[in-house]
Amino acid sequence: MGLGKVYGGLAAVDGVSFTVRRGEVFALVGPNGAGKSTTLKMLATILTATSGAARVFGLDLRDDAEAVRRRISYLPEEAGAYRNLAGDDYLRFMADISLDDAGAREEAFAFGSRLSGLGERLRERIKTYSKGMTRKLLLARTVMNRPGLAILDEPTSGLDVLNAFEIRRAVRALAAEGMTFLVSSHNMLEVEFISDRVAIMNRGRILACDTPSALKEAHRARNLEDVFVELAR
Amino acid sequence: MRKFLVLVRKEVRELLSPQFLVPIILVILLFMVMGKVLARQNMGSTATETIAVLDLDRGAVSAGGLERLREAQYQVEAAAGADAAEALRSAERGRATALVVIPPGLEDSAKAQKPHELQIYRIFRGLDVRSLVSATMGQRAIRLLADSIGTAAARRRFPGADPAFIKHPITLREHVVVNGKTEPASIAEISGFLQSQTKFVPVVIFMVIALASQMVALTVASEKENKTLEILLSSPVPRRTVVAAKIAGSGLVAMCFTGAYMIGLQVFLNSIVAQGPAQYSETALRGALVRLGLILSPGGHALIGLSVLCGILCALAIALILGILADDVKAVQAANAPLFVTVLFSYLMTVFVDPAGASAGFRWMLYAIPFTHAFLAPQNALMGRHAAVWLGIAYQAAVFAAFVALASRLFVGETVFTARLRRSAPPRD
Ligand SMILES: Nc1ncnc2c1ncn2[C@@H]1O[C@H](COP(=O)(O)OP(=O)(O)O)[C@@H](O)[C@H]1O
Ligand SMILES: [Mg+2]
Repeated sequence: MGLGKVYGGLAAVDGVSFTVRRGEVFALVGPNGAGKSTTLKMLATILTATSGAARVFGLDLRDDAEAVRRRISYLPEEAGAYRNLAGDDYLRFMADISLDDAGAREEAFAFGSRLSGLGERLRERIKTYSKGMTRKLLLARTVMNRPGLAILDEPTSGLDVLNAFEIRRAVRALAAEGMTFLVSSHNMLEVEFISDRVAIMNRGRILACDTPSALKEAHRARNLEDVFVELAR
Repeated sequence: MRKFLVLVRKEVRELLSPQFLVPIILVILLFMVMGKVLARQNMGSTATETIAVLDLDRGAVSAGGLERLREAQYQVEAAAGADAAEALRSAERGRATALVVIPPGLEDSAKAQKPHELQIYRIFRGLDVRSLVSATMGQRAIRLLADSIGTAAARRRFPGADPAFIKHPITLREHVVVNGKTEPASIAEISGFLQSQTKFVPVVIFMVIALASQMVALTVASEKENKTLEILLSSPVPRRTVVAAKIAGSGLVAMCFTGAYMIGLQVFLNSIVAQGPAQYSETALRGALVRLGLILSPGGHALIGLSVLCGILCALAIALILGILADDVKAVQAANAPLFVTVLFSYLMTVFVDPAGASAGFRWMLYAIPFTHAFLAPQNALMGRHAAVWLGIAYQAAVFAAFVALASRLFVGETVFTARLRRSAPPRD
């Protein structure tokens, strides 16, 4: 609700409002510097908003940060993992600190291991992984404890075509099972493929928010890129 | 608690990477090799210490003196040359560390009750340990020679009298007094021994503090750089637990390293002491030390350990904050510099300056630095000033608590992610 963030005089996010519905993939799209990451960081309780407020599952970000953290799972942009741990140790470590129930931890670990698709390589240290492998591991980590809301910041940026495709497919598959996603991307075409609804951001503001097809129709455009060019003018 | 242990384990496993382990193991190996080399050198030097002698007297007295030297396992080398200058040239080319010139007329001088002059030339061969040990050995050889010639001369002049009395009619019986305990011993030997035993302790404390703070700052900065910190802090883990685990993890690893250093150091010291100059292995000296209370009890050791641990913890808490301020791993070195310099300052000052004798302002400044108390703990514990050690520990604990509270505050808020950016915002793109 009118979420805002000021970095020393610069309004990175300027009164942003949107609602993510349960079970959908909601995408923030916009060029670099639009304020997508800042918005996601506020929702992930990493940053505190300078103005406005937001609720996640009815919990206030500021007052119930601890409770919010139990419901969400956040994958930062360009994130890495502990390089000296093996992949499976990393998943186990994250399960251990995220979940209190031993059975749930085991289940999350098994799910994450399978989802990562890394097989035997999970036993090796993360520093030996390629960028694509690390990202798959991190995505598996993000969703393995079946969070109420998974927040993914630029999940495919910097990946090759094949790896990006696999990540997108995994997100769609999980969404089909009912998981809720809030993703960001600067790639308008990718967003068209994975998201149910899109918010187009520029300079800290949301310019439009709807399903991709509705947006294209409203602006009589072939794709979201054209919609953005139209809106940003 | 479970999460805390899981986090500590992760910290330890991250820290025990080869990059961290290799230098540590190298240092321990270095200590061992150094000890071995030194020990061999010391043994070698007692066996083959060479003294060049130009005996222009050629009498029975001088011959007897030289015989005593040989009996004492010194290599006595007759210098080639007719006069001192020539003999010196040849001695300098050889291995001798001293040239003794015995002028003619020893017997006549003894009869006339005129002191005879032995000319001593000490050849300076450098400042390395071997040369320094040689210098001491040479000194002893010369004293032995002078003594035995003196005894012979005294016998000649006063047959029937005790030459020992004639040489030294007065003997000094030195006592050392410590905290009301008195023991016949030489204060030079006592302090020499204690110094040889304790002079490495501050080095180890310094290294451990520097190392530990570097480690914790590195882990925070690398977690920031890899964004693993964002993942960690958006997870349902109390942030104070994360802070506590970071300090506990690096403290634990630092303590393992301290233990390793200590073992290496002990091996090193043992090998010098065992084969070193005779005075250090004398059991009489040990006995005197025990009776004077100058051997640390296990309790004293524990007290020093506690003080050092508190010093390390202070450094860790401060380094944690500095790590937050450093935006990436490369900046850690620079961010840590103020801490490093402070530790170095307190280390050097406690080694070279007696705080009690310094001006009040300087003294309190020194005491205000928490690490000073860790550096002073060994001396204080040795001298039985336990209250001073406890006071230092209490102060360090207070400083630690204050910095942990500050670090927790930074972690609980968003400062940990924005700290550097407040100071210089990046250009907008
Ligand atoms: N920590 C920060 N301090 C100051 N300015 C920042 C910081 N992070 C981002 N910004 C600025 O805020 C704006 C939005 O950034 P960001 O949210 O990362 O955009 P996006 O993720 O859409 O590319 C940019 O102009 C960026 O330079
Ligand atoms: Mg971004």
